[in-house]
Amino acid sequence: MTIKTSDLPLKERLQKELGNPQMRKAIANAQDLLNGKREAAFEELGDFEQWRETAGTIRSHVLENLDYYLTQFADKASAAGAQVYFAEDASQAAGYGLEILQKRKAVKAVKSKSMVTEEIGLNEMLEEAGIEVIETDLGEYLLQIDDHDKPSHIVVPALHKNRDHFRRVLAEKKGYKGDNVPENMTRFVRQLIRKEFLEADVGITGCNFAVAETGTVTLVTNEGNGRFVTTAPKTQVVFLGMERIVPTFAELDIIFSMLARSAVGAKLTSYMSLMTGPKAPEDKDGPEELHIIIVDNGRSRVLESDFREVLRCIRCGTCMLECPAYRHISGHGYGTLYPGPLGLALVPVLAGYDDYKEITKICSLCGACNEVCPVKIPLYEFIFEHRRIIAEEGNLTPAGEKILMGRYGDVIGSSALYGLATKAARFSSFAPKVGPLKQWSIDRDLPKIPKTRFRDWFAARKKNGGVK
Amino acid sequence: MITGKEQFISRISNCLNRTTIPEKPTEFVYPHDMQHKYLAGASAQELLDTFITNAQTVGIGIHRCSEIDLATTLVQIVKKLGGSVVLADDPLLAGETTELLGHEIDDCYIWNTDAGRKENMTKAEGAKVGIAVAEMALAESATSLLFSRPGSGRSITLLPENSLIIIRAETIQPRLTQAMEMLQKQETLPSSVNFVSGPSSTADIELVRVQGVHGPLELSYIIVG
Amino acid sequence: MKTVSFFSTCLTDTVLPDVSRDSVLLLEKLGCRVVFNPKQTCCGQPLANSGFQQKAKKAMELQMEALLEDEADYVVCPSGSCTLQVKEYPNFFEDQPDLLEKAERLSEKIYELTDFIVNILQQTDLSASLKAKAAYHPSCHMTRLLDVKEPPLALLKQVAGLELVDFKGQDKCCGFGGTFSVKLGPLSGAMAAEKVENIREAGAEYLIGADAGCLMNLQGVIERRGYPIKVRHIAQVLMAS
Repeated sequence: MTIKTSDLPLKERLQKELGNPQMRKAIANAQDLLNGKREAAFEELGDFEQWRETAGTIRSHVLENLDYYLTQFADKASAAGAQVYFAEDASQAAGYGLEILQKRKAVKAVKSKSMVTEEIGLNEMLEEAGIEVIETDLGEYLLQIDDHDKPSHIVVPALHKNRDHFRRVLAEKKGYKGDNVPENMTRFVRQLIRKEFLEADVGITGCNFAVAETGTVTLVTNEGNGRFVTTAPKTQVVFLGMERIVPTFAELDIIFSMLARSAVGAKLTSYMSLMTGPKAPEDKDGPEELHIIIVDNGRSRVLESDFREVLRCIRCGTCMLECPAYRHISGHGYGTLYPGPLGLALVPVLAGYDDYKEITKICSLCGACNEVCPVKIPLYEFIFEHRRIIAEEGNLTPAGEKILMGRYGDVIGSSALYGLATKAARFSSFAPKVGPLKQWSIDRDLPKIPKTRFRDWFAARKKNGGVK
Repeated sequence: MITGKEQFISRISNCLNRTTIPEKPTEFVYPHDMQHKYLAGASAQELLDTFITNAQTVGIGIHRCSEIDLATTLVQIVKKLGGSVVLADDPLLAGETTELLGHEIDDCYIWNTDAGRKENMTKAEGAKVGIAVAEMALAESATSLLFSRPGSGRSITLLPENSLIIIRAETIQPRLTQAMEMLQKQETLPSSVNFVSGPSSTADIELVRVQGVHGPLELSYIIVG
Repeated sequence: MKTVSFFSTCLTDTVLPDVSRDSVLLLEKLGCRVVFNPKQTCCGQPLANSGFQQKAKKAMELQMEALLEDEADYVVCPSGSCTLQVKEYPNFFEDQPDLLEKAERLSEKIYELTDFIVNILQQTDLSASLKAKAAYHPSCHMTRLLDVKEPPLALLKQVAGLELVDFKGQDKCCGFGGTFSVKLGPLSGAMAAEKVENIREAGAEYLIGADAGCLMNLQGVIERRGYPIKVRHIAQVLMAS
């Protein structure tokens, strides 16, 4: 997979998702459940505003000093025995990965869920080279064996599918003979993947946050797959988005305290692994080699833009869970690896307006995401600014739309023209089958336009001496 | 070894409107200090009570005993769970505890610093119960901290179906903040520090919580003292 | 006596004039002298939210002229969303000092109707009555961005006979979003439909809100589905007796 996950035009994509009632119900339930859990978790923590202000300030500080902290991290990680690689784009990053695996003649790799590896198309590159890659997060695994279906949420990837669907997939692809009870299906997959863990040559992971002062990489999971991938294989390859750094363990405290609560409403996830270098020579398990590939892939474009602060993101998925538009179309509606408000703010600058200007329309500017972001990214303001750039700079908006909007601006910019236009509107009944109003009237009636405008009533009343 | 650093970092510096890496980062001042207020000044008893309540809420089993009774307590628990044991080579378990377990349990393997990777991992994979000792515990999140050591591999609390983690009551601290401060004070860090805050679990199918995925199906703490 | 320059907004001027009428009558009932400057048109939000900020500035300048001309003590508007837009005018004129001064002056003077009644006029009991079960829709711009949360509720609580019912997803966006509702009509409609179904499920006979855009949006669904839910702006409710 890459940043683009669909080739359908925006409106067709939305139509497809809106026509999937099972998915919509699943996402709505997930939003309600996880939002409730998150709110309860922060209620219990208290001082949400102080926490997120602190977390946001930490992230902002790191971005401002990213050259310093990246250097420090690389030096410390290297001193701890890790091999560190800096990759400018997707193909270089995935290429480093492939080279490491090929040098070790790896035939099988186990992987714990990582967005950045999806972003750079790592699985595809490894599979093309004949290396089997097994996703070990339960949701990712189920999607992988379901003919590489795409995740619909960045934390809970298989939100859009139900238990019956997965029972069929497991039966068809893996010979599962049990019922549709999640616990039974999970146990079945546990056995399947355990074998893979123990056989795999290489473990591939992302990194939630890297600690600059010590060269430590970290991984948080609930399932324990993160621990497994970093315990059993002899070689571990870590992909790290270049902005995912904290200065010291003290800041890691704040970020992790926010991450688990925001993502799944838990105080902490079941497992957090902090790994500094490969295993010590006397250690009996853990990776003998640790490779860390630091990925740019458009992030430096974001860093130098007015949208820098979107790189504060800790990938908790809260903005998606809170978004009323995401609720009806899931991650698939966006056609991008990073969906929801984060996707709208990040992707157009990470990967360019040419391909991604359209997604900025998927927002009613309700502001709900701003209220919950644990690192205070001004998502609303960024989406607003993207729209301005698309409308006003370069040739991103069709001339026809510009002319139409210009005329509209002329009308509301002139008392006389406004007067004429609103008078005329009352004599022509709206024709719902044409123009933009057609879109409105698919599911809704248009309002009836009354004969008298408010201003006419007010003027008449004034004339009559101020009576009703 | 580091590959491709100079060019990469110099681009980042450019993005930040400078030509060289600054000698030190800009000063960072914490806007708030809320993380130190949680259970600040709590007594040992309060920390212990909070820890136990929070552990039980997330489905972690709790056993309590004095240090003298640790051996018999462990034997009791392991017998109830049935099957073989892999345990850490740790001072707290050495001597009487290890001897009693070895005597009472048919297949009791002590993580062996003289044996190889394969032997240790195979034993752990085959064991029904894994026993390790925590460095520290955290009241807020019912967390235990495990350091990987030559005598205590990562596999002990990962591969067996049941995890028993021994916690010394006096090591219970308020929250993650204190754990991170402890790590900052370490002269050398272990290659892996694991924070365990519950049995392995998932909610990937219809958000139904299932306990026991890739890691242990059950997690219990034995609080000593 | 306080003088109020009334900012009707284009939507209530043309599509829902009764809302503006009742707002004016309400302000007068509470002892204000209300003026309406007919130069006013639209706050410019539809253009600005679509990205066309430059094209919206002409309208913004016109509103500044119209709403400041009468030198009223306050400017009052029966829409949280349009009030927000006017409040944000200074952001659009940062490099035009003369206009910035006007934008700032207007930004300070403008109040959303219920905010004005509760916090400036210090009134909550307007001796209105409506014997019905009603759902209140807290519109997004008004509650989240303008931070006017309590005033409409404080006013509705004093309406005799009115029973406010909570409903699922109450604080979620209704899907209007101005031009969003026509640009991505089916998605906007899906959001509106869910809201309406939740209101219906709560057994509400009335839907009350403080933003005409949201109300028009939800009313469109209610009418299409033939539900017997009456839609009212809060000004209409407060004038009912």
